[in-house]
Amino acid sequence: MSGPSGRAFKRVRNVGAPIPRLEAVEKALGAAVYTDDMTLPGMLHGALLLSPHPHARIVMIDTARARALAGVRAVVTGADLPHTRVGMLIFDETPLARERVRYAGEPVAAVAADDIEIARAALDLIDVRYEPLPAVFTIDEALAPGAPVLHEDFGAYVKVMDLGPLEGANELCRCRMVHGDVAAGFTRSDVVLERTYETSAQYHAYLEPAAALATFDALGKVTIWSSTQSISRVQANIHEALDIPMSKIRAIAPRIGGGFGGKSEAQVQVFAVMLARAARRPVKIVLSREEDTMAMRSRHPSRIRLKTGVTKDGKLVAREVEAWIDGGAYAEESPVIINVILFFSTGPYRFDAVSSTGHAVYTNKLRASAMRGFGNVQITFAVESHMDELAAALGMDPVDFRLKNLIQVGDQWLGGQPVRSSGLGRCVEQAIERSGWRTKPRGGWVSGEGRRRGLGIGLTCHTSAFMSTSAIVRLMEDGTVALNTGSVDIGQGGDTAMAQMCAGMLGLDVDDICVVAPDTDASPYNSGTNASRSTHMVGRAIGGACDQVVAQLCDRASMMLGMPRERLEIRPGGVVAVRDGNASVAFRDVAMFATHAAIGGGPIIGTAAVTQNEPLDPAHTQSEGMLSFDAVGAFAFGAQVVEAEVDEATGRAEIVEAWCAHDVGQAINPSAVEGQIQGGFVQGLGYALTEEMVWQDGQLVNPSFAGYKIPSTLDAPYAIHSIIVEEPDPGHPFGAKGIGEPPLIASPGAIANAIADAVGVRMRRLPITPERLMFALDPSEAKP
Amino acid sequence: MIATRFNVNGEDRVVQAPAHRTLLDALRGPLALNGTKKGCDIGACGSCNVLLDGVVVRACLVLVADLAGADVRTIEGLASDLVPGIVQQAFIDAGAIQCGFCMPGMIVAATGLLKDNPSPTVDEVRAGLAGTLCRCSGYVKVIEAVLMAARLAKGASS
Amino acid sequence: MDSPLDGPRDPGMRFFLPTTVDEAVDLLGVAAGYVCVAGGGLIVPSLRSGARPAGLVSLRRVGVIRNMTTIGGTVCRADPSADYSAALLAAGATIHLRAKDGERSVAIDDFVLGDNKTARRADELVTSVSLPRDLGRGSGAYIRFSRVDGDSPVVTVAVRLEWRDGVVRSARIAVGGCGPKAFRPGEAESLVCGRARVEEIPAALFDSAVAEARPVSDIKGSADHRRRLIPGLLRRALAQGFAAGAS
Repeated sequence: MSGPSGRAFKRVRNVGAPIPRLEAVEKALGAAVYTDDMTLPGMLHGALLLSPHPHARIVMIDTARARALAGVRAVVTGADLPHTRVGMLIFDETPLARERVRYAGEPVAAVAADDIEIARAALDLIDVRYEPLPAVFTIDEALAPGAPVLHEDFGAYVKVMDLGPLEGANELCRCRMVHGDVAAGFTRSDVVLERTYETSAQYHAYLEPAAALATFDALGKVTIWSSTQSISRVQANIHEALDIPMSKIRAIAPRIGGGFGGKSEAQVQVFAVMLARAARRPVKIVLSREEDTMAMRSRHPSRIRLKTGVTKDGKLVAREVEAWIDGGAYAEESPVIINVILFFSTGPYRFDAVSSTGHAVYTNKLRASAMRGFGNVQITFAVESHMDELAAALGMDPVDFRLKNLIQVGDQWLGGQPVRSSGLGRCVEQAIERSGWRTKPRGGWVSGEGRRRGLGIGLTCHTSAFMSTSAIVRLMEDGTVALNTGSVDIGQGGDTAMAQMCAGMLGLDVDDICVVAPDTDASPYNSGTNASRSTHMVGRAIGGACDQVVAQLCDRASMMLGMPRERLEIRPGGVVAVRDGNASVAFRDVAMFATHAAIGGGPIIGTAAVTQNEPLDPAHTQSEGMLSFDAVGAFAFGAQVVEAEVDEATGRAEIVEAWCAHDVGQAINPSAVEGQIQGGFVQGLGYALTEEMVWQDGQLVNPSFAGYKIPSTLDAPYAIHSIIVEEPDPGHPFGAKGIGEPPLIASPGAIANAIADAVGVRMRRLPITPERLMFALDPSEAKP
Repeated sequence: MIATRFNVNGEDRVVQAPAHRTLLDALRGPLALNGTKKGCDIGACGSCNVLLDGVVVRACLVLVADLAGADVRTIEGLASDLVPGIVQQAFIDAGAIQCGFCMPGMIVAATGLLKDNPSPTVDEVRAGLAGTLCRCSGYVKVIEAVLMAARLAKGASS
Repeated sequence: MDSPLDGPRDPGMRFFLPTTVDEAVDLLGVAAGYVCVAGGGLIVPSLRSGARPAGLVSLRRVGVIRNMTTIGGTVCRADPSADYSAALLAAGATIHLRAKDGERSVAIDDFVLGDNKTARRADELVTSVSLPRDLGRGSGAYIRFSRVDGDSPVVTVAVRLEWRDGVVRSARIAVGGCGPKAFRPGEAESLVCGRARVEEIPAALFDSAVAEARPVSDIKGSADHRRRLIPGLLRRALAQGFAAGAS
């Protein structure tokens, strides 16, 4: 990644500039085009029929009456799908149900009609006869002996990875990671503490509901615009579900109104394509908020048991972990997520021995799948709460206890991967100092009539990478640049950061970079915008591609200037010049020469492809049921201190102030980094205090913003201090690491710890609602 | 079918619609003004905020038939010839805009707030924007944008 | 540009824009099933879910009513946990109704029947809500508890105190969200009389208020939690009422 000397200029407006998003003006004007803002001539509107039953056999579906309704142009069901099953890691699902439904809200049929009201009226005319089956809704119910089985043919399903030694009938993955001798470790420990922590289902609640618009051309190629985090996954999902070759599927991403993991895999895209093909007209499907909440995805509810041994002077020795996650009706990303929970089950601390076991189970609820944090949120809540409980058992300050055990550069993480850079110590230091941790009393303080405040700390470590990615950088004839990475900007500022990095590599201003809109016809492979991977991994690909462009620029310039190649370098402002000399030539002239001169050598274009390649080291950690974790990239560390206030008369906890220090390696756009820290912290606040999807007999009782409460301006503190720490990663051209998820991962543990500090009550179940906290403060029966 | 005549962003428009048609569906349908967004359609998220006779309302809760003679201003009406208004520019400059889906509603809510209260405190801004949800920003830069707009508007008028 | 949405779909649902109370009342007398639309917060979402009343009578242009559409609609909805329910009950409001055949006034205690029902006949329009002339001479407080700020409340407490010679002469206390309608805990009201300072209030007052509550569990909170909230919220409301009365 390091090129000729003097590279990576930062004087022109590029890396490090806190500029607004490139598309901010368009968004402020209301001119940004999201999927539902698009119409095509002859377009139809689609609607989905959702199962009312959490578990049932489909005895019969009759669509005749629906088809007969005036204005209905197509009706499709599971019978119109070519395959019995598809899936991500386990082929356990079909986009429209066949033979069985396994959650209330599962799509059973889809209708396309002249307008949305006709389409919805047609849904009522689809006759479905169900034979309800007994259902399971919790981890315990799913694993109970004799429990109803969701996937009776599980044994015959195609599986892409080793899922471990499964036992329970509804278990879909059982994984283990073992390092060292835990039993011996407990024997050596002076204090051994065992506790269980539980978390609930969180809903992504992106403001833009699931949406897709599909249209076929006369040659049988489908173009699909959709709200997605990954055009490559849209293409793959359609290809796998409908047997259409990828060369005939063009997936485009318009403006996206948030994703947070819920749009990593296809949502309604397959239905739009099915209907467009059947009706031979463009079809747009946009889910209502209720449909999106009920039918799409959630975060995994979890139960995590931690048992930790520690010496009396505060050295961590051994940890045993058993974790269960509730995966809902179809597996999708569940195996990877339980893998991630095990991977991060130490937290950013040193241990002599670790033994972690994880189970993912099926239940009759919607899919639990990717959501910002991806398993690390649940385990970090447990780990950070547990660290405070250990500190209390030892009579140590929670910060001092952590500092005594922090993982350091050069250490190996569970699985054997080395930590190559770490700003964690500085993050802790900054968060402690700016929050006044050392000056405020441990055990909280009175802050008003019936109110107490406390401080809590939470640390995090997360990934900066996943899967593979590539980049194409082209010099256009006027010396400006086309940057094509296939990276979807879901609102996190990806396009802007990519343009800043590309400009930084070439010494240009960000305005000189044209960011090509993601389009599978044109864009190279990019696995998606998730896993906090974009700045780090796509940045590495951009670096590689720009290295090639610079080499080609210098080659051509050497011919134009009659100078040896080694004497040339690029300078800010789009110039190739002689080092320590005056002769120079502008990029524009080099581009014209390259493209048009007989000896020019052809248009200047650079490419690079990147994949992570650090498999788990069996000498360090024995594992089963684990994907080889060639995924981490650079570890992204952070530390947050939170000040919480509890109203003892109502059990309401409020976050008063937060100090969030995150090591981003190098902030490509400091303003965007702050925005991610603030937004992530507040999502974590919602997860910790108010957000919970609630089911009754398998029916989601709060599928709307009226019942599912995400934080508003009154719930989030204004005083969220974003503290950027920079400890560059050597693998990235600018040292950048991920920031998308860490701020959400760190906050729930810090909040739970702050509440414990304030009122002396340890809440081990999220969310910490006023009702739960009041009962914990006074467990006696309410009168009368 | 009811024909209703009202003013949208300074232009007189007539919409033919059944009695149950909401202003939000009319804006995003026959009026071809897609800047106003549908986030929930039950008035709980604020993505569809518009100014009705100068007051911030949810377009998803207003019936078109009820709008005879009304003055409606949407996010598109806050700019002049695609030049952002003061509030829009403040949101851009403060770095408040992330995915942008809630922003038309948020900017309209901020505009309404500043009309009623040209120099709000942080807590007044928080209270004034409490009905408009954002999932990306954590609100800090949104509040900064409103305070910035207040300062700019004050400077412009003095 | 016509949207395909604007085809003739519901020729049956009519829409009316009366400009006077008489016109509005005439419409309500015409047919059962005409529904008033005021702020729209409740009616429009029900239309979205497919409800199609025979007719909608918009009150937007009815002069006298225009400014109180929110209160009128809320009073008619009679949701026991809504903010106005406990507040109007503690204030001792009077509801004024008009029908084709004349007018009448009903005290709020008698107007709200419980389980979202009121004493309003289908052909009656709520034309105003009035408060006692001497409301300003006493002191009061209103406290709401919701799971998050701005959310619809779980439990509400409203207090109105009248004073003589530095001592509470009479009190109206209302608790919402703890039963089929906002209720007045009678024993608590009598126990607060004769007190000069909030510290003089006996613990029995709070116990009796909890004893009279009939909360049910729902998504917003369990019955137990609502009972537990009553003492703290009531204490706070009384403290505010006493502090305001002392000044």
